[in-house]
Amino acid sequence: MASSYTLTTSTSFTITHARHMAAKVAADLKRMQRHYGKPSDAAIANYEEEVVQLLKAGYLGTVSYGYKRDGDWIEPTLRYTAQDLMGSSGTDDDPGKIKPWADISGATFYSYLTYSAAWSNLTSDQRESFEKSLPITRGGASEPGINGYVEQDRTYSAGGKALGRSSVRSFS
Amino acid sequence: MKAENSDFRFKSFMVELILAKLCDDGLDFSDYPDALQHFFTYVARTRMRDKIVFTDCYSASKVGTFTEPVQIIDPVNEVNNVSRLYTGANADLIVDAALEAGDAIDSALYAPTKQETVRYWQKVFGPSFQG
Repeated sequence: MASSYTLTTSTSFTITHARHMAAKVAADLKRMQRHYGKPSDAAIANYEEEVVQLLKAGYLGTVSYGYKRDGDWIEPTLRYTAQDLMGSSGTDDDPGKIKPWADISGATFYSYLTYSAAWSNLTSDQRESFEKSLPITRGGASEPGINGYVEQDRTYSAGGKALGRSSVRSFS
Repeated sequence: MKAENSDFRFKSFMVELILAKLCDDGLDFSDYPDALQHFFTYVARTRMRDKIVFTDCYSASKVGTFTEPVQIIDPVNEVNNVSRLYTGANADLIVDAALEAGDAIDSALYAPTKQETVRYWQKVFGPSFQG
């Protein structure tokens, strides 16, 4: 007699998973502050909580933090892209590896966020309600260009989801 | 570090002089994790290429010109670079280690669990550190 077996696994993504990944983003931002002066501790706390809430709800597309000069991201800039690992576990690197020697003269700190497809499925009322729960109010803006090149260098994962980190590198 | 890489060298005297310089500059060492982070950040930011001079026993203008990549000048002898045996490669290894230690301290600062916090600190102090 033939037998068949079905193995079903499910990983529910919890606030604990979101906090695990967001803490690594916060540590990266603290490293940026140590080497370049910004963002402030208060801003890091707000960015961390924003990532927690967006990850938990599944609304995060990408979020970038870094320095902008003449409308372009320059080094140091970090971009995190939310990824669904479809239930599998992924690499979970330690934060850091931010080089302290980039030239940020004439540049200002900036952050830019995009939403996931799930966000676009919400009604405007639902979006407004969710946005009120976030510690940061973001306005509309065009995405800065990139002065340099982008290198994928870290992955933070938990609970079947991941944040892939890319870093802007200077050509010089 | 020495066990992992035979080219790694960093005498405690050099560490003491760098810490003395940071203290002279007015950095607050009352909080141990912050003090450690000040040290690692300074080493990483300067790449160990900033000349360190003390002016307790001579004026800075009397300090000579040196050609070595690392220049930590003897606090009691302005013509003696106590770090003259350190090569650029030695300095780069110290800078890499300082960056890794700084990463670990800030990661510990934001880690959401004690287990993760201790794991990060173990990257700085070794696996016997228990928190």
